[in-house]
Amino acid sequence: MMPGARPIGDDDIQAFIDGRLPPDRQLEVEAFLASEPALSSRTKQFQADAQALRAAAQLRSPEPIPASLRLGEVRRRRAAQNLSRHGRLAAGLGIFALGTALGMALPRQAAEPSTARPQMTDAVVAFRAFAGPAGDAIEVPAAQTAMLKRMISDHLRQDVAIPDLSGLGLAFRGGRLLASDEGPGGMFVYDEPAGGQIALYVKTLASPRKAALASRQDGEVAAYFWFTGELGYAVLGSSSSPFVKRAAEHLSAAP
Amino acid sequence: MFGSVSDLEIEAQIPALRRFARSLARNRDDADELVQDTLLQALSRWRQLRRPGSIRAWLFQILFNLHRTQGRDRQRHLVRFSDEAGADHPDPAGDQTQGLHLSDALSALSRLPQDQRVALELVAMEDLTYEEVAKVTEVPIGTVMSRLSRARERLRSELEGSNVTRFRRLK
Repeated sequence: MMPGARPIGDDDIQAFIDGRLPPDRQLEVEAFLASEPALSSRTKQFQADAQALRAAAQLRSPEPIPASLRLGEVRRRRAAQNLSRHGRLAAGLGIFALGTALGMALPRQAAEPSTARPQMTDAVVAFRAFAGPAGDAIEVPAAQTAMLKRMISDHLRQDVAIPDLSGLGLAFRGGRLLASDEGPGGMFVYDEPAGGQIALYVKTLASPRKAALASRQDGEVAAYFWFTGELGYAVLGSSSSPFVKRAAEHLSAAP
Repeated sequence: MFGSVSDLEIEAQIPALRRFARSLARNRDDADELVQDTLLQALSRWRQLRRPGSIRAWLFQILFNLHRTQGRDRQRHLVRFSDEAGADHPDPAGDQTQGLHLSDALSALSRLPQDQRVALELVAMEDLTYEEVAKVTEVPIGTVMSRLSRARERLRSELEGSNVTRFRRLK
């Protein structure tokens, strides 16, 4: 073993048995085992056991899937059970405000992401409904950024960062959780130096997709949006603001 | 609402889910019921899953959680799956790995304490990463590693014990 290298631990041995070590660590463990014949032969036995278990998994593979486990069947049962539960869930998430806004703006379209209507219409609707000088979008102020980050990450079931745009001259003001047409979402609002607001809108995607930065104007609102596979983002603001495009290019280029 | 790709991806995991459920429930009907409940929850929570790569771990997590909350563990007094496997699928002649009968491995596995058995099964049979096993079983990764280590030791001694027995019987 190289002097100063991390000592070999039992976790290394386990990962060695499972063939899951990174190559350089693999070499270190091999060198270590070469000097420990007893442990080495024990490890070989464990590897053989693992192989046997892997093969045995096939033995254990049960007979063909019964009809009761087909998703169509499970879904039918679920539809019957859960009709009422959905109403309560929606209320619990507090999505009435946006639901109403979407309902008015997009009659009969809110349930499915549709290719027929312009992308990120929901973001524009949310921006119109919440962002602006009145600050209705701010459920959680900038002073509680850590809490907001936790809330939104819980809401979206994955880590969502609240970007710092102070380098562009934009001061983070706060944010809120939203429900979008595709799943849980949220909005972060930033103050422009001259007093306007821009918003970063983020939502989970019902069907994962990737798309590079694109933009459109919707009346007085400019929207720049992109899709990362798991999430959809939009930066929104006044059509006359130079910050919308700047922030969007900055954010969509970030790793 | 749920795309056909997602359906396919979920259905592709059903054999593995049934395997794991059988190991937990140790009774065919309970196991399939557990899988059914898992699918039901998966459909309800589909929107929570955002990483296609982890569908498998996500489903296992739901299943294991249901198993624990529903107290389905009827433990040792019920039919052991390994016994069923022996009856249903007699070892084909080629099913030997380094002289080790696969059904011996399964039966030794079934004698491990549940925590150890689950860790070893998820890693060695179902190919979950250590992180995924930690998530499924809701313990720190260090605990996963030590359960895995103890499971291997215990499995080995079970196998060595049973080999000794068989050897003696042959003589």
